Amino acid sequence: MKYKQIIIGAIALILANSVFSQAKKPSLMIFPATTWMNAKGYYTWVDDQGTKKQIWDYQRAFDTNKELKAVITAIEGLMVSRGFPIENLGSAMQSNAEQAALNNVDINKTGGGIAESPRDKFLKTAKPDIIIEIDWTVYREGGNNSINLVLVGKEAGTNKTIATSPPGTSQPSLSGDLTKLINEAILDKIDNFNAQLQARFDDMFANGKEISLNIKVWDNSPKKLNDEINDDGDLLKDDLKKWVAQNTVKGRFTLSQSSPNFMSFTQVRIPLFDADGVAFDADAFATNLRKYIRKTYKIPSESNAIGLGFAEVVIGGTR
Amino acid sequence: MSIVFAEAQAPQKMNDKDRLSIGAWIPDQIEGLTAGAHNMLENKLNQIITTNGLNDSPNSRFIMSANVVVLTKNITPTAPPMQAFTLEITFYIGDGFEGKSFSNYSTTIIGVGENETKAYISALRNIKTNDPNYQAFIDKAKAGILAYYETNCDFIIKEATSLAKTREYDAAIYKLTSIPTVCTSCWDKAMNAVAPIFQDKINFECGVKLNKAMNIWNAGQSWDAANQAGNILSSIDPQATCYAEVKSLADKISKRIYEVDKREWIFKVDSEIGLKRDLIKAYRDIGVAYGNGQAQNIQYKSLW
Repeated sequence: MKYKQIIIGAIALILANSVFSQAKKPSLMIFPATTWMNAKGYYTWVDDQGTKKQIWDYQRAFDTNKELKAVITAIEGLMVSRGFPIENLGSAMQSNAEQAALNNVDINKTGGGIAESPRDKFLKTAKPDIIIEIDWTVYREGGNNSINLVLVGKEAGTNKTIATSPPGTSQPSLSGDLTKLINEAILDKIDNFNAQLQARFDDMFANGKEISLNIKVWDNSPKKLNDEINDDGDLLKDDLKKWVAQNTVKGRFTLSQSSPNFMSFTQVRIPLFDADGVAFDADAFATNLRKYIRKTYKIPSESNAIGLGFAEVVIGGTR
Repeated sequence: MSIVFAEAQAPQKMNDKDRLSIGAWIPDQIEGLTAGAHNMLENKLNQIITTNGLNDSPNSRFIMSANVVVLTKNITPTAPPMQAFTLEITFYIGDGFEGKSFSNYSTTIIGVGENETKAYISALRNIKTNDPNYQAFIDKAKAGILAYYETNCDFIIKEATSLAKTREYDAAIYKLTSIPTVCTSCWDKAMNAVAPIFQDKINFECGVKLNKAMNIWNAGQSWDAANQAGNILSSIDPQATCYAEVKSLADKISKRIYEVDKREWIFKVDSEIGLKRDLIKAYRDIGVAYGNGQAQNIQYKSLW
């Protein structure tokens, strides 16, 4: 009996992994924490209409700090070896810069350039689904060296913290080699951290992927969210809320904000696959909502997603 | 400056707008406008001017200018950080010497970039040079410019006359020839006023040049001296009152050269300065030359 249970469990795990591997995998990216950036001076101050604001200079940090490169390389290597593919932030920024330059010089036979709205430019940043923030402090006392390494995993679409590394400083080591110290510190924490990430992925498989959804209205839209749609006094936003409930896993969502021009849904659980078995994501969810609005109310809308975790629908026109 | 010559262009009837000249000018003190963005904005104004049928004239009294105000600014804590600006840009056309606006038009532009300069340039690139809303804006400005000349015509002529009295003939002619031909009554008065000033100018220059040529000839009385003096004499307008003396000196030089060198020296009259020519073109050329020389001295005043 016991063996039968083990076999069934193993088969279920294999099947689950197989199915999950066909779903859209979240992208992970390692960022130096803002506390580290601040301590090392990788920022500039700008005036934001009367308020002084820090903006982080990730490019300079990547270009000039060898320690950062060593830490990220070590973590990336360990994550990849444990089955978590990582996108490199430095490479992503470089790729965005190259793409922007290419768009600037690209021209077709009739003199047209690449269409790019201010919004398109605004979104040309590194956008992983899961951000892994890292911060570390090296302690050197006599011949003993240790590192306090902190890892925090955050889901970009939901702003939730989904994994944190266990607190504590690594065991003192006589080695002065930073790479060796980092590897020891990471090895001490990475499995626990990855287990939390995996738990999140498992939850996603069981209960649907969690995203956020914003519904907005163009200022010249024929309908606002508080317009009545029938003689019973139902408003447009009531119907949209009903649609979200019908199209989420177990009707799970939270309406966190509602006004005539804006609805914000968080903790929205969408299935990993659609009815045809195709991998499903925030963009597909937003597309379905847009089509529903078009079909039901004859109103064109704009739908889009940012990464895998954030969906947006703007009612009353297109960009 | 620019003037359109009805005689040269006849028999076509020209559009009023085509005759008005406006220059583009951006003051230095605009919020957030770096050198690169400043140049781009000025270039856009030049494009708007020419696209909408006006003459783009760098030293014109009347200017198109623009002011930029930041409506919203957003900076994102992303990698890389992005700055997004919503800018209100207000175009003005008016009298750049007096700092008086005749017309204005506002629009909103959006720009995004990794720093403020890039965001500004991104926004300025979105300025449409063929926006149909410019029409009413320009038409109102045109009416203001015409009204200015109708109201101030006598004063402008009086100023020009005063300049001529102090022998600032080029400045006087520039002032009178800057009046657009579309302001027909003022234009006619100005052309009547410019003729005697032009005559005074060539008379004065005749005396000065004749003196200079005489001194060169008397000092040398050689073939080279003859040519140097001859070049000066050739530039004297035949309509000048002292032209008889010019011819007399030329004859004297020719006779002397033949006596000494046995060579024939011929006084060449500049064919451009003929007895019959387009006087208005001559006035205009003087005005243009003077205006171009004043470029670095022009100090515009803000229109807002």
